[in-house]
Amino acid sequence: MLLSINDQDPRPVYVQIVNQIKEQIQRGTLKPGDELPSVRELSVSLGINLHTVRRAYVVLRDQKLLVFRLGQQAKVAKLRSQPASSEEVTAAIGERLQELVTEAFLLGLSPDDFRNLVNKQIDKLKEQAK
Amino acid sequence: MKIKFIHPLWTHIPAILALLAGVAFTLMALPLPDPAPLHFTWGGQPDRYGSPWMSTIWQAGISILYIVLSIVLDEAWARQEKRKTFNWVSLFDDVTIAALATVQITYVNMLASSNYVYPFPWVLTIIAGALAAGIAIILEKMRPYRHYESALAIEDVDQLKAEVTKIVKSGQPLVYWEVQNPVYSRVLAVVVPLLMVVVAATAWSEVPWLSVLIALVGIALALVYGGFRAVVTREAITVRMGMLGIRLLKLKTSDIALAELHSFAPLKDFGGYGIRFNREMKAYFLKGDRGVKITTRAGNKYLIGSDHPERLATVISTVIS
Repeated sequence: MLLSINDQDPRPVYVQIVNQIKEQIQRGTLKPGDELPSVRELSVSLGINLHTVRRAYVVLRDQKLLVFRLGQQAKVAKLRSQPASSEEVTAAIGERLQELVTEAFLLGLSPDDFRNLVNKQIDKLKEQAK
Repeated sequence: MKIKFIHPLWTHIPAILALLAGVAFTLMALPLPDPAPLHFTWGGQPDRYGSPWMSTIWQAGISILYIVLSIVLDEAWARQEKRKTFNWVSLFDDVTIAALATVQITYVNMLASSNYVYPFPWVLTIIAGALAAGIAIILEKMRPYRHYESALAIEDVDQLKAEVTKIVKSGQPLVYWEVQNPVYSRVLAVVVPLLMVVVAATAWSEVPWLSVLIALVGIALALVYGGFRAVVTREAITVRMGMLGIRLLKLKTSDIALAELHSFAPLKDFGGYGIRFNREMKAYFLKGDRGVKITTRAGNKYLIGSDHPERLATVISTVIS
């Protein structure tokens, strides 16, 4: 597992960790059952607060991407076999999608430009996952 | 799950025949006296009595355990071979079980004679062990070489290299982390210590010092729980062990001259798994036959075993460059 913290990134550090772990799961670099470092180990290695790492792990656990119990290493959870229901999708990404669409339109993108941008990003992710 | 053996099972025939000989001889000598002498002084005089089946159960139990262990070790050796090499580990079960069977047969013979004096049969045991070793050597020489294709795929690490290069250039903190935590080490770290603690507790009233020793060894084994972890940061490469994260190795990245992929045969090159030494290097691995060989500027060499050696080598090489 590869992680880095970007001081220039306006997002909170825990969000950066969450996103990087998600990307690695999506790419297949991290597979279900793979162990992750302990909260302490990761916080020492990255030189960040223990609670920041713990918060990232809790977010990933709440999103059912990690499993961990007391005294056990955190592990990558089994990937869902069925796509999420539309209610789950709306709850998880609806608000952020709305923000993204608004942002894109304010930047002057047409609906087609935005669709192309999304398709390009999907193709890029597929390429990385190969 | 069907296991396809690379190492032929017929190399264990001498051990199996010795085990059967010991059991068959015992069955032919029935009925055995009850109670039978179980323990003897150096002079061969009995000093403890018990069930006559005790020695048969021990002989058969230990023999079966040795055969299973030998099958596992021989298979591990065969899978690590790049060409036919002499597997001295294969003699292990044949020699020990032949010796055990000799002891069992002479013991049953003594019981049948009703003269309960048992001087240990050193000469016969050595002859039986040597005979079994001779047959085992011939069988090992006859064993054909079979190539084993490792399931570990060679990974494409171009994207990872680009990512690490970008992070290194940006000056951001970085951590690459991977673990080797195979099932056998988890069993070794949980089941065996538990058994040892139970044994220590039961032996406490009779031999307290032995109980303490067994309990300490059990606790030491439990420390392995969690496997070996390799952590690469911008500043150092660290290998840690177990749930307590005991540090086994720490190398400053500025002290490293070279990091390269390395294939090895754990049993042949290092005599097993764990923290290992040979003439060339010090090694840390719990599974697999590939890793990253690190050479320091002082000329010291270290081997870190890895499930993803290409990734680990790429990250270390990029960080030190």
